[in-house]
Amino acid sequence: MTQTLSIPILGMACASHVGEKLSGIASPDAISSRATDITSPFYALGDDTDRPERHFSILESVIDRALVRSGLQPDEIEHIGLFMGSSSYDLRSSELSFQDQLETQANDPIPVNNAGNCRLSDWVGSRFNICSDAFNINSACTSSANALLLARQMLNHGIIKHALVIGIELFNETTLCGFSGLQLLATERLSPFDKDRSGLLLGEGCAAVVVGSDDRDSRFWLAGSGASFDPHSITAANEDGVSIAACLRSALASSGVDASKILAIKAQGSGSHTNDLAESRGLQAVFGAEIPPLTAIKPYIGHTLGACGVLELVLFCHALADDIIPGTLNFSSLDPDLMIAPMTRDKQADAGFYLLNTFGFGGNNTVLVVEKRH
Amino acid sequence: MILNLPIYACGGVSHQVTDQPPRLKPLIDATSLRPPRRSDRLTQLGLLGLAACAGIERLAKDTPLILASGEANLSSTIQVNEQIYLDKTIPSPIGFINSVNNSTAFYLNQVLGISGRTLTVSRDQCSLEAALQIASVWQHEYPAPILVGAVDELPADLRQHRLRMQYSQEAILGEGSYWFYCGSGRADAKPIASIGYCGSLGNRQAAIEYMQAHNISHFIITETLGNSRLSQDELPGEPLDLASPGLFSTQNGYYLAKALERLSKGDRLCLINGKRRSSRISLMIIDRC
Repeated sequence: MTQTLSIPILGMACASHVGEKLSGIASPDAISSRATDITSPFYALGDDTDRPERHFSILESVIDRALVRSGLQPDEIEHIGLFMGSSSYDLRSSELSFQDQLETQANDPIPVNNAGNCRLSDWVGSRFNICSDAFNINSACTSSANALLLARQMLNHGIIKHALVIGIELFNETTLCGFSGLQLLATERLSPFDKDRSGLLLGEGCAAVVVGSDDRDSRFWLAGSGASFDPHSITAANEDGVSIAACLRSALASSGVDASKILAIKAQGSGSHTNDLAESRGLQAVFGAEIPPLTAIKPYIGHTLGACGVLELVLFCHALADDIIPGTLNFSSLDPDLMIAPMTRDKQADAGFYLLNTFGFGGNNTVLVVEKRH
Repeated sequence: MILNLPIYACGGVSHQVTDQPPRLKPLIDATSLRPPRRSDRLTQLGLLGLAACAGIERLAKDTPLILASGEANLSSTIQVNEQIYLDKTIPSPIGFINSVNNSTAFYLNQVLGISGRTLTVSRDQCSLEAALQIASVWQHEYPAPILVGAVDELPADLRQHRLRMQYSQEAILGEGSYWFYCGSGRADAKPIASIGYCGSLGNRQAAIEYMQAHNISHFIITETLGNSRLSQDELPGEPLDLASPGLFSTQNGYYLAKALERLSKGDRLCLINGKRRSSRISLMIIDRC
């Protein structure tokens, strides 16, 4: 991997269970209303998860804010590259429709009546007058992170001048029931790296970032990125951490930043023992005993799957803008298998380089290098 | 978007389906590839197409793979939704895993023994175009040639599927899996073709002018686009008549692969496609080497 250009983040916005800021959140109330009887808490954006078409209003609010904050002009927006990542897109619409057809005893109820993954990006293109063809990236938990990596590559090669990258994951029963069936859900809290962790909690969210290859100044820059594929298991990273270490090294190489210059790491931190083990071993392989301060955002908002790459980037940058590296909630006991402890209190965030890890189902790993400037 | 993407090999399978989609397992058993246990139809179809793509037996370990699919893991997702809403049960773990939108790419990598960068992308009926555009970017960054596949399956209930896709009940449906071994990372082989341009234009006139300016010798209008936006009479070059593979979202993979078999060195093909919910016209310009 050769060194690539830094890309300024021109605008960003998000909707998460805790809003746009992590600061001041002691322990979010994770229980919100939803349709299923599964006992695991869920981090919702509101109590309207059964409202059809809610994805459009959420997208509109988030994208509008990101575009306004970017300062792009209408003619620039018209030609912006459009990238979207999700693991479920508007699956909830199909679920509600199927449920409704069954309840009203419709003649021929059709499951998954909205097949395909393009309705959301089509709507975004139409609503914001964007004429480019969207890339809808499907790589499960790394979907939006991979969408951002692709946008960065296209910017670096001069194929596009600006990119709008969206991550969205909204409540749906398919995902919640699926994770329940896999027995991956915790019943109380999400505690990455903690000896007493009991699994993950799911959440929903939406985030958008506008990145560009022009000369505009920005406080935050995408300095590098890396990706790797782990063929070990479809549901979990290889505990040896080799694939994650390769991804971290690839990201560092693409940024030209030495590992010793990394100020902190936003971990994947999904709260499963296997993934925590793989991530800690990957970090130890790259950083040795000098692992930079480590934090995780999922205890605040749940695991937002395909959205988490871009959503956690936005929340992390908003915290850095307030000069804070947010502490990790719910950590109390060191896991002897990992021998790694995330920071539990907020820390001063200086200008410099930060890593953001996103790993997921299907063997996809991504790492972003973000630079905070003065 | 300018691609300059060489293609070294391509191949695949497709079939029209009039009654029930055929069982794929016996067809795969006749190949050298072995699907993972309890793999779903999309994975099996992906493997069948790969088995028909000459050259895959020599893949480098770090070969990247891009899977394009309009509807992706549709059968598995239908099955999971029926379990939840009809049977009122939690889906089986394997059923849910198969419905996750990158599971097929994972399994294909595992069977092929490769572990390069991997991505699954959708753009409805222009999903192959999206994948080839990504490959053209990746070819500058990854040393090995790239496997690009276009795969769409048919679920069991065809009548329901026609309603889902808003096709007429008379529409002949199909499914298929076509693969393209492409990218600049192969110095030891001569390409069979090169994709120069792949992108969409906002209206019919712009598409015609683009084709006229690029000395097109042959063109194909996919069935997905039909004759609603362009008529053959107004286009430069000769139409290339190929039998219909039946309707499926990535049928342009079939058209591209079959056209490369038919064209001669020096021919320039324009593959004309479009999304069903968009007025834009997608053009792919391919030089046969």
